[in-house]
Amino acid sequence: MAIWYALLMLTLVLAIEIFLASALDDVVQEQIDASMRLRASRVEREVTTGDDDRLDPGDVQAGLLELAPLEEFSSPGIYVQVRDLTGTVIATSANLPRSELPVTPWLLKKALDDQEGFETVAIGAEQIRILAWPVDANGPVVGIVVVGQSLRLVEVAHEGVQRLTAIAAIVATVAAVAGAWWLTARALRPVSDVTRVARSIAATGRFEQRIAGPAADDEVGHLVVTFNEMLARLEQTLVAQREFLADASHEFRGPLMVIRGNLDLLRLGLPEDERRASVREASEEIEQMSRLASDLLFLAAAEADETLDQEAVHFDEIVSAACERARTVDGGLHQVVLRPSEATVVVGDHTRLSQLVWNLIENALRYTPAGGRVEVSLASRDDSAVLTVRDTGVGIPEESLPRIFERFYRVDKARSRRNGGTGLGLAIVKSVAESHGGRVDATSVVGQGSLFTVQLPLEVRGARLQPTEPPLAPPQQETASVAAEAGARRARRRARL
Amino acid sequence: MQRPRILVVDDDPKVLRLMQRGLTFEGYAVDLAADGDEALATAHDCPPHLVVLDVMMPGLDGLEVCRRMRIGNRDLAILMLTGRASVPARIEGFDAGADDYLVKPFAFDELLARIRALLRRSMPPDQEVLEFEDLVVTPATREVARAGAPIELTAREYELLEFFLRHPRQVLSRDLIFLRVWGSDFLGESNLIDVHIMRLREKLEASGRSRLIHTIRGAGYSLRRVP
Repeated sequence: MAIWYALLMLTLVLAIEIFLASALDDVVQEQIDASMRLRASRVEREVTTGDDDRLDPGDVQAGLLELAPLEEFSSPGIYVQVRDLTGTVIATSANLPRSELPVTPWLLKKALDDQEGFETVAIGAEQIRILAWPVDANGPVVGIVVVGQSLRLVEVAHEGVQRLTAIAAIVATVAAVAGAWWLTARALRPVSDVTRVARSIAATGRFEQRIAGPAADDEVGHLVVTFNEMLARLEQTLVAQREFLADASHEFRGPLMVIRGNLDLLRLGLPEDERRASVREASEEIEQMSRLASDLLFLAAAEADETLDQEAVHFDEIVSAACERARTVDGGLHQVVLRPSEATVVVGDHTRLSQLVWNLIENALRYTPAGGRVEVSLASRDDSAVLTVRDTGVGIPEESLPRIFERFYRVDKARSRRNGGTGLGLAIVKSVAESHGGRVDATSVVGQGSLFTVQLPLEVRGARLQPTEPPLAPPQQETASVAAEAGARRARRRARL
Repeated sequence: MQRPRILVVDDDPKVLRLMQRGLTFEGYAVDLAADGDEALATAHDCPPHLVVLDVMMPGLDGLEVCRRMRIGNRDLAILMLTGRASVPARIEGFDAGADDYLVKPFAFDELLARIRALLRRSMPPDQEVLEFEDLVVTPATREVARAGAPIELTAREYELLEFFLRHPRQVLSRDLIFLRVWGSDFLGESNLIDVHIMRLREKLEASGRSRLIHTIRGAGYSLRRVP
């Protein structure tokens, strides 16, 4: 990259210098030519005699031709000659050696045509500029004034300038490259910081690192700030995931302990009924672990999946189906009441929405004593579908209320475990509600009951609809049942709709 | 000799039940508590020799229970159970006064071994004497006598006899005996145990003494007065 820049700079500088040098040359040349013209015209005026406008050798011999002025117009390096129409030299300045000023036939012809002409010829090692100036005194041509000027000084100056410009070009290039290098290194240091930190994170997996230092208010500065923000978000996600993993595996320890302990006991040679108790309790814990695994998978899928099914779902049908199922499972232990509702269409995933409704109803049944009442209602308000599940259960203490949607949080761990709860039911409800663009809230009075409210955006008219698929049997059979006994109830639940 | 008293504290009722089954079988007196407050109350009313204590409990947590139990009670052995295996967690447990630490889920055999190790220290061994009928065994010295007459046993025979004495009247299967006395769980077709029992019987029943180790057809052996 730096090489290209250096080459570019060098080319630019040289181009400028060459341009300037040649422009200078032109100007100098112009000046020289102009002064030569002036000289020639003065000579022309001086040498033209009084009585006629002819110029012939006779005039010279007659001493009539004032040639002394010729000397005036010559100086070291500037030569003046006068020729007649035949091209013969009539007079010449003293500083001219015996040789004539070289005038090419072309120049001669031009002059005789009453046109000035310039040429540059080399005499020995020297460059001489030749001007052929027709003597016409505003009439026909009577002779030619030839002016020759040595360009040696110009050449010397030119060479000097060339040398200087070459040096200047190199110095300028080096300085420019060095300067550019330093400036960009400074400006881009944050970028190399970003690279360094990113590499370090990739190698060590430690996301707490950040780019240090105040960020400038330019594009690179914004990059640094944004990069740090992204790292913070990543770290947050990772920490949350780690905690989830730790919490989840911790939840399995309980059941595993019971299973392992009881299986170990079997080897001890306990009496028959105690052995049977061990086997039964181990089996129940396996059921618990299956429910837990199932809920975990569901939750993980619900949270990770951006490509949620986007179909038009009849939410009212889901709600009524869930209530029916609840009554069957419950076996009359509680009153399950569904208020009549109109058709309500929501856009989303049928399976997940079914799970959401089921979890809420199951929760209500679980925490309501026998004989209590669970009331479900669905209504449309503005552009939302509003589902409420109200129970006359034990209620939730105020300090616990903000936490009930947290994973694995239970108000009463013992009760939850007795009823086959996994601690994930409400977390799933919250996750599904939010991934559908909705929300869930809870209010409660201890000893009286609780009220859960779910709001989901209604399907917007004119939105692209996909035909609703026939409802699949949702995976409720693997999540907690309300009554732990009665395998018959379980069998009934497993029957597909 | 006192039967060692163990208090088990855990918020999971299934864990309590399985502990009770297993520890009772091993000959311990077992008390149960489902939370910290209950544990402290029970420990106060029926002082245990050893406490098996779950760390993570709602309410008063295991560490706090441990600290309180430790106050003024240096001889009490406390074994902590926990789901957290990290070093800081263990250090916390030990610093709170635990004598030992087991991570759930654990093998029950390991729990039993650690309990035995802890009780060796907290219960002076020279107190312990195992008796059955007229048979007296002193584990500390490995002295065996019937009606006062000393009996010489090989190491393995002694271990076999002690095992029976610790599980009096219980039916012990050959597999179990092999596991607990020989420390191996694959007996197969071997008649190793039968040979040893035969030899043990010869020595115990010398001079016409009554049989104490009886064969229970199809189930195993048992130390009892009559078959």
